[in-house]
Amino acid sequence: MASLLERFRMSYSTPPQKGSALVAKERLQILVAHDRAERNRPPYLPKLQKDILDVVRKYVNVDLDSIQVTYEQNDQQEILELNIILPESSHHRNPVR
Amino acid sequence: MRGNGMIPVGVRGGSPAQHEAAEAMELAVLADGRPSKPENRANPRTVTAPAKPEPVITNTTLVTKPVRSGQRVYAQDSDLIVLGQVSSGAEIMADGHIHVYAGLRGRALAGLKGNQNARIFCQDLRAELISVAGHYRISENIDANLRGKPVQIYLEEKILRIEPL
Amino acid sequence: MARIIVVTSGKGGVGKTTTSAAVSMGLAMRGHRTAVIDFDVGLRNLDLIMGCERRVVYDFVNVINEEANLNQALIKDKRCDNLYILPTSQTREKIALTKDGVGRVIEELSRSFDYIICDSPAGIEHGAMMAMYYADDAFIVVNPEISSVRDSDRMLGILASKSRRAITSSAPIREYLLITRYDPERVKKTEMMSVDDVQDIISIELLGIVPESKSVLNASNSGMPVVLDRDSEAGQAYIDVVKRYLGERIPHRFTDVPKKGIFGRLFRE
Repeated sequence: MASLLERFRMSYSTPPQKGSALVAKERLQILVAHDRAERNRPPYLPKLQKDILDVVRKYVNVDLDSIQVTYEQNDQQEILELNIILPESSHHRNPVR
Repeated sequence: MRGNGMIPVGVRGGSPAQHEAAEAMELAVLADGRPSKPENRANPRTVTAPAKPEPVITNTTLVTKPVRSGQRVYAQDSDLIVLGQVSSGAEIMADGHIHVYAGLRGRALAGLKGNQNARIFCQDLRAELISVAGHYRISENIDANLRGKPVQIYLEEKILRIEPL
Repeated sequence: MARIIVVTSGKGGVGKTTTSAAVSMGLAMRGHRTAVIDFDVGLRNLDLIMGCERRVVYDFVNVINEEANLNQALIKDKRCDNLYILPTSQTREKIALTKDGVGRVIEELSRSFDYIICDSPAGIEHGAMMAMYYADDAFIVVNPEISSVRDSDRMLGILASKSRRAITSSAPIREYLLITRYDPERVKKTEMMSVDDVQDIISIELLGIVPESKSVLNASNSGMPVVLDRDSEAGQAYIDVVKRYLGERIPHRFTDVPKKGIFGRLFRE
């Protein structure tokens, strides 16, 4: 009898509760987009990031996390974006050997 | 004994002195059908008197654990004794004889290098494939009456025989 | 020249071997000479699903290592003259499959078969790579479940970059989607992603939807490809899959909840 009631409720209750399927789809869309972007990244990026770090470190003491290299691709062009966050007091520091 | 085309591979039972003699001839000293400690081997029953030493198959490989699906055991230049079950998908091979004292569900290949006198002995025949010196038979072609029975398998005139024990 | 089809998924347990068995039997029943190869070295299963495990003497790895020739290893199906099974070895490792060896076997099969079905192991390691490398067509088997969909997308990326067709810049592999273990009841309750949800993400041609069905387990229990069970929904779904692959245009089935008894009907519109 309970199942009969359930069925009744399911058929006639107004907007059905957001089921987990929708959550799954939303999560997947983000994941898959991220996976695909990752797959298309040129393989030299990590090495580039390290080399840039080495150069920057000659003058400013920063760590690996302060350098972000992002890569984007659209139909027209490829964009390589480099973002270096300098420590606040960097200009007071002596250059690293 | 060897003159009669039989190859002693080991002795079972017997006194400690006979065991010593057997070991000197590189014959295996076998337990009484199940793994047991040497000191438990008390009552002598059958005594296989070894004949003249010849450099034939003199070693025995003993496997006390089950041989699982995907595992392979090869007793090179020797006999093979398996005390655990041989699962479907497992493969046991020997250049000499093969003895299996539990369920044989996998493949067993005796006389791998072509020894036509090699035999397979097993307590519970459910093998996927049996072969002696390259003459094989697949599970489908093994007489259903012999399934689950203790048998010996040998070559006679290049024909593979399966005989109940 | 044969058409080489890989049945792959990335994730395990989604129904690759069931699909390989059903599709190869389906193609053979329609008169095409078909060979199906088990690439899952070390975990031999195709012969069990095909019901020929008691007839295996030589296997794929023996042929690659030239320990046996192809005719010795191929097992002719007892139900259909056009179908041959090339079982794999359970006692070797995946690494036994070499690119050259696999290529040689596939080339030899190509001379006498119309279709060669490569049943891929799960994962994206060596065995799966070997299974997909020579493919002309890929059947991506996916369950309406988050990790399966993601892995399938990953596999599509690999097909597009690591296959022979990708490396030699030939026409790309034709990709087809098969959604298996589909449960319309749960989709209706929004507990499971729908066909459209999966299609939105994967977006390749949909070859068929195979509903979750008891007949699949029955079929594997008895070593009979499910496509032979014409009364079952899964069997019919695979027949449709084969027809669509061969170019017939037929509407998709088994996406809706089957009609219930009187109560079910009463409480539905």
